[in-house]
Amino acid sequence: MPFNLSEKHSLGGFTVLEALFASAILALGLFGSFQLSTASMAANQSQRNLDIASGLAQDLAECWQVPSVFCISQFQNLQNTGAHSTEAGLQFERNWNITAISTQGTVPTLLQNLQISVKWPNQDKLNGSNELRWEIRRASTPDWVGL
Amino acid sequence: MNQHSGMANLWSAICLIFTTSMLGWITLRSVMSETQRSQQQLFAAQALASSESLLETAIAQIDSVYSGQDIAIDAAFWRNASNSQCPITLTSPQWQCLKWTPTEAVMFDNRISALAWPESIDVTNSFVLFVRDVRMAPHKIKITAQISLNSEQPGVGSRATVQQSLYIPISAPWTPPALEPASGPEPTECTPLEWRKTFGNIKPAQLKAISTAQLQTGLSSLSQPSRTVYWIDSPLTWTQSLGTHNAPVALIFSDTACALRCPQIASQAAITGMVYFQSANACQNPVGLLTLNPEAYHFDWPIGIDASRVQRVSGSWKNAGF
Repeated sequence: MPFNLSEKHSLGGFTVLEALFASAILALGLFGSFQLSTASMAANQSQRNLDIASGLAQDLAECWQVPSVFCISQFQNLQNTGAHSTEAGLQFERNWNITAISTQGTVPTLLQNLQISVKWPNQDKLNGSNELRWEIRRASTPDWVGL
Repeated sequence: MNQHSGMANLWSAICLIFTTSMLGWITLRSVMSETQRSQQQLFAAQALASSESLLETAIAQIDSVYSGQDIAIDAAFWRNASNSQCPITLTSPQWQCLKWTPTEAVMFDNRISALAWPESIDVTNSFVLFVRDVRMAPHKIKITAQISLNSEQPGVGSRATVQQSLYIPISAPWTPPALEPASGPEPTECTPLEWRKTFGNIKPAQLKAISTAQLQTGLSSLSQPSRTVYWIDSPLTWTQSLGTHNAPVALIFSDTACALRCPQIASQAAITGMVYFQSANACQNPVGLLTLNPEAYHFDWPIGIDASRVQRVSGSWKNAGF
């Protein structure tokens, strides 16, 4: 009988240790998995912000080349600033500047350069910010569209 | 029994960990591949914007070269052109191709060097290619801009190609011969009536430029296809037979050739096409005029176009390809 009792105790102790060990492995695994999820969410969020910024820049660059009333009114000044916010409350600041690249004896608007800069806060760093720069050029050479 | 239960716990925990890890890994891979796809789109858009900028720069360069200039600038602009720079599909000598890297662009003249290339491009892997058909359409230049983003850009190495065609004032829309002098003031440039009757709005300098362009590309009476415009400044007797019924030529003896006495055409030289003698004074009527045939200088221009300046060919913008 004493042999049997001691055998029971040793068996019970081993199971608790084993459960602890299993829990530790599980905790470690879940921590790793959580880290992976956090990293992927951060990367996803960062890319989403970059997509929004590039969308704002490309939208303005396209508008610069379209002589519609709305687009012409956008570029009444040679440089400007505009703020845009997302549904998550993140503020994007868009700046642009138009410069002329011309040569002697040609019209000043022969070749123009539009520089666009979009800035937004970096959510990983306090007081940090990200910036996307976009450039596009346009020559004043007319398009023959017929009579 | 208890031993088995412990093993089951351990095994279950390991399986759970493995499954969770796999799910996490797959989710991460999925998110990262989506992120990468989004990044590639951004890089492609950035490369396209840079190639458009380079194309616009090249258009401005052509505009500054040809606007308000003597059309003789055409020969200077194309002086480094060669058939070896043409795309492999354009091997015929009628194609004139000029490939510019930033170094070559700067070497042309200071008007061009002022129109610097965009800063975002890798200059060692980017170029502008100018192509035209000097026989069928010397007045149309197809410009292709190919760029690769430099290391200062997030999408380093991304490439893009765009193209557009331009009209240049090397010829003019052909108009039927005007038998009566046009009413109103005479044009300021010296274009004698006989010249206008034959060549319409095309000026002597323009035909000379076309002749030079055809000579530059290596077109001749023996090449295939053959040369169609000959501007001759030499007073020597002409002995070469030129032109066929399918490819008639325009042979013009300039006022330089006719300075003392217009050159004679040897009896054995058969010219199929037309021969025009400019008199010693370009404002006087020609000495003589043979067969008329406008095909050699009759190019396809849109109706009503002002051919005196550089203009984009509508609808010719294209993303990628040569």
